[in-house]
Amino acid sequence: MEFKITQQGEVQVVHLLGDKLNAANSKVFRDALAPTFSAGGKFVLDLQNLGFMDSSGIGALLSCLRQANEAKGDIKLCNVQKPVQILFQLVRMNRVFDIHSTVTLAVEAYQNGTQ
Amino acid sequence: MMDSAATLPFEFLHTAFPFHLVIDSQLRITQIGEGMAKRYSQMETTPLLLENFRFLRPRTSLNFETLSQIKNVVVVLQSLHDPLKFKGVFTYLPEQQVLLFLGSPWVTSMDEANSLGLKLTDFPIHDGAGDYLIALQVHQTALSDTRKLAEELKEQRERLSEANRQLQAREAQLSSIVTTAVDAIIVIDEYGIVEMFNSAAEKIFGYRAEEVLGQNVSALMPSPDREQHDGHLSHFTETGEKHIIGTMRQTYAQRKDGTLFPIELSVSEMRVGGRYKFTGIVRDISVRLRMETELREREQFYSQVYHHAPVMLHTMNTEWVLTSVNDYWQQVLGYNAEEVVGRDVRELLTPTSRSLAEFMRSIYIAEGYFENIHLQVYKKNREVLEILVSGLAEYNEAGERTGTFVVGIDVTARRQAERALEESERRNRQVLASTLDAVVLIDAEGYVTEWNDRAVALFGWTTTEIIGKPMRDYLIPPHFREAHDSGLKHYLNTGVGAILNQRIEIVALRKDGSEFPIEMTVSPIQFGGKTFFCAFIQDITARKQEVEIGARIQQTLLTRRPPTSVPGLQIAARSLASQRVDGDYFDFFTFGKSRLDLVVADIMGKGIPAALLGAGSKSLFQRVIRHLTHSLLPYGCLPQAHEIVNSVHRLLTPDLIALNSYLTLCYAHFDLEQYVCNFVDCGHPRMIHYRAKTGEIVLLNGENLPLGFTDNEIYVPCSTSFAPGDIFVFYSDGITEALCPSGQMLGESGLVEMLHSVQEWTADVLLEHVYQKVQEFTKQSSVMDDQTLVVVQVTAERVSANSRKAVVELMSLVDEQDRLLQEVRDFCLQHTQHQEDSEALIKVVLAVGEAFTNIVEHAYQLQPQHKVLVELELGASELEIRLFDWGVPFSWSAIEDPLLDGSHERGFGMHIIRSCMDSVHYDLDGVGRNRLILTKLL
Repeated sequence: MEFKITQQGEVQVVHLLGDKLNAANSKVFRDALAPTFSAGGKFVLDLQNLGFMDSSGIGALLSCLRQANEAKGDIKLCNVQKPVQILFQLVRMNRVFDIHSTVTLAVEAYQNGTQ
Repeated sequence: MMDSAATLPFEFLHTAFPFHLVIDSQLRITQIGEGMAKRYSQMETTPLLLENFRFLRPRTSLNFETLSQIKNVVVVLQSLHDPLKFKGVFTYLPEQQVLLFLGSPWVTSMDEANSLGLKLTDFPIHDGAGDYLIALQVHQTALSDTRKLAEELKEQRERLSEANRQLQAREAQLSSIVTTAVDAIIVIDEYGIVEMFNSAAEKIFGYRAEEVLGQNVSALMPSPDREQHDGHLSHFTETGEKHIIGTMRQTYAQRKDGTLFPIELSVSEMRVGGRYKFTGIVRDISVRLRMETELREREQFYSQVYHHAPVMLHTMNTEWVLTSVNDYWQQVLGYNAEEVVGRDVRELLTPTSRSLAEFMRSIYIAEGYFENIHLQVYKKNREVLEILVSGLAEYNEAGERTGTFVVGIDVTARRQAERALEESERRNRQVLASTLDAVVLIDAEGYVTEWNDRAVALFGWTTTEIIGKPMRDYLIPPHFREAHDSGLKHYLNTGVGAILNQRIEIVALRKDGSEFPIEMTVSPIQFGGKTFFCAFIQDITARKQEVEIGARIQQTLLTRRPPTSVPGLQIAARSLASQRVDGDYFDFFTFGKSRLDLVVADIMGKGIPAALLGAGSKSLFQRVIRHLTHSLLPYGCLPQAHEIVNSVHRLLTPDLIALNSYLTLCYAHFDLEQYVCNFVDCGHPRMIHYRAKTGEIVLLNGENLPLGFTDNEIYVPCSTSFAPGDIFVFYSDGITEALCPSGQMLGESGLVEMLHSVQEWTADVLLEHVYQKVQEFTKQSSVMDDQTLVVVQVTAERVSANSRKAVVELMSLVDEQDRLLQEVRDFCLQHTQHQEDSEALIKVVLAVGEAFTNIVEHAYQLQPQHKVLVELELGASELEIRLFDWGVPFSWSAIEDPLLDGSHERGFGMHIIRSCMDSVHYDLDGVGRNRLILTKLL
């Protein structure tokens, strides 16, 4: 799972470049981003390209969130595609993550929240 | 003055002394003995002594005067008419003024006598007047010498063989064997001049008699005896002091060739006419000395063996008093020799062995030996020792028994082992007797002579109550007695017994009057010239247990509830186990929704063995189907009925042949897409096909042999098409061979007839109908043979012809999930109305993804080399996805719904699957796979 990180103000936006997050790559994803999230800060995960996610992907996201929270940071999600939305509904991810439709809205949410 | 005529008439002399001569003072022969007269008739005309004889000894011619004075001097007269010499003495008879010559022919061997035409009868009968008739003595010596030689040679041979036979008599015998029978006899005068040298002497010394006669005997001796001999002689003649005379001594002699050899010499002297003669008997003892040395060594050896051999040896006299015991004997029994020698050996035996010994003694007295008698001996410490003894009589030289040489082997350990064995055998016999058959022996008159414990238990009669009693009145129920009597009589008259040597089942009578079923084998046996019947009897009420076991096998291993979930088919099946369990079974195999296979089989034989063989072949079908399915799946096909049967045949037939059994079966494959039944018939009763459309009933059969007949059979399939409403009936021969009370068999036609009367053509109704009808037919509640019936009804509901299927085979790798999910998407997009982004499709994909991941991670625990099989099937109103794996079964019920608050990162899989699908079913399928069936309604 490749990803790209952009900085928007104090918010780091992580763009997932792969189209799926599942048992095959979720561990790699988690390990790769662990240093980033463990350092703390404000993050937005851009799921624009992610067409499929399974329970391992859910597990990876939850792991990332836990790491960020431990470092007083947070993760917001955006651009969640329909298959992933459906999955999120099944496992109530919308209660765990703050989900926004776009990167901009997600970044704004941080700004609104901190102000 | 004696009256000479009265005392010794001359006529008497004629016969008593056939070689006598009477000579007057003119040296004329006035009278001759008969023997002489026969040989020399010329003496009548030439009566002068010197015209007929010349003096060999003394060498001078003697006149009447001198002759009348030489008393007791041996005179040898040489006949002038033939070579015969006469040895004798002249005696002067003063009354008649005549000289009497009493003599006899001088021969030294029978050969010589024979060559001179002399017979033994020519020699005078005399009373051994020794001094008076020296000549005769000489004859006698020579003759007896010959005879003795022959006798001793004979005796020697006998003794040699005797010696081999008798170890005990060895010493005495060997010493007599080495006695050289051929003794040399040498007579010398007082000057040492050899006067006689017999043939034995010739042999021993290597001289001929002529060479030695007249020579000094010292020539036969080595130095210093040779030089000293004359001195010894003169010393004796002068002083009368004996040096070696009258004794036996061992010395050396010298042969003609100069060699020395050991001899045993005995010398006796006699006085003849005032002069000494010496007779030396010389025995060559070189052989004997050698043998004696050997004997000594051997004796030493035997003595050592006797004392140190690890066997018990003792000798006893004829009264069985111990005379010696060896060291080992003492060691084993704990006695010292002094404590037991002189005691009766029987004192050491246990009372039982003592009586055995007495018994054995009488045999021993007759036979001279005993062998391998088991005796129990008291050791000094009163422990009992088991010994095996053999004894051999010992004889003295006279051939009389002197005692017994006994060898004993300590067999205590061996006997104990044997006893243990006997004991265990006895126990085995007891176990056999008490757990298996009752054994009853009956004599030809029908009286009980043997009755074992099991018989006591079975019939209630004790041994004392029943022995000697007529069997028929005690053991046979009254209504069978007549049949028994006639059967026994028939056998005794003809030797043919209907019930003999085979297992028969009859009813027997107990002491309490109750009757019970038995299985019995009766064998006639001949014993002591009489016929007995030996019956082995088994109570077969116990067999009910076996039947129960068999029924359980049948219910659990052999039959399976028919599947209810095959769309388009209704199946009813039942097997009624008979009292004698046999190997009927049926089984079903489902392949997806459009195929059902079934096998109906019947093992030849009854009872548990057949049931086990049935169970074995049944599981073999399952195994074969699973393997074939697995190996054919990559090619997108399933095994055909004949492929399955041929595989089973290849694997099973060698075993069936080895077990001398076989198996009839019908394997049918219902294809619910094509509405075709492919079946392989292997000698099974013909299956019945009811065609609903026409109402006709068709019997279907193939031409294959039962399994187990031959290795070479290749099983070929038949096929028939069917339509909704059709019914197939499979059955075992227990149905068609059911008997009505009159003995008539139901048969195929009877069964078909029953089918026609069914009220409703459905599987369940038909099944009940047939069983009820069969029961009515037999009028028996119990079943004689297994009755198996399988009814397959094709329901009107037909599987959609539009049904679509796909199979995906995957490796157990998480990376494979992507490919699987793409297959699922493609399948759905192709066959359903769903769009790629429809929620239903997304959910199916999610569920399949989770299910696959579960298999890889949990069933196969991330081992990559395994296979996952996914079947996608689209029905009329639903999508079914079946995932198969061969890994660790999943415990579905243990999974609880996860907490969905973000606190757990795992455990969502099952929740997702359940949430996404309309139905989820997980089980172990008919061929041993873990099967997860996910259904989504369309």
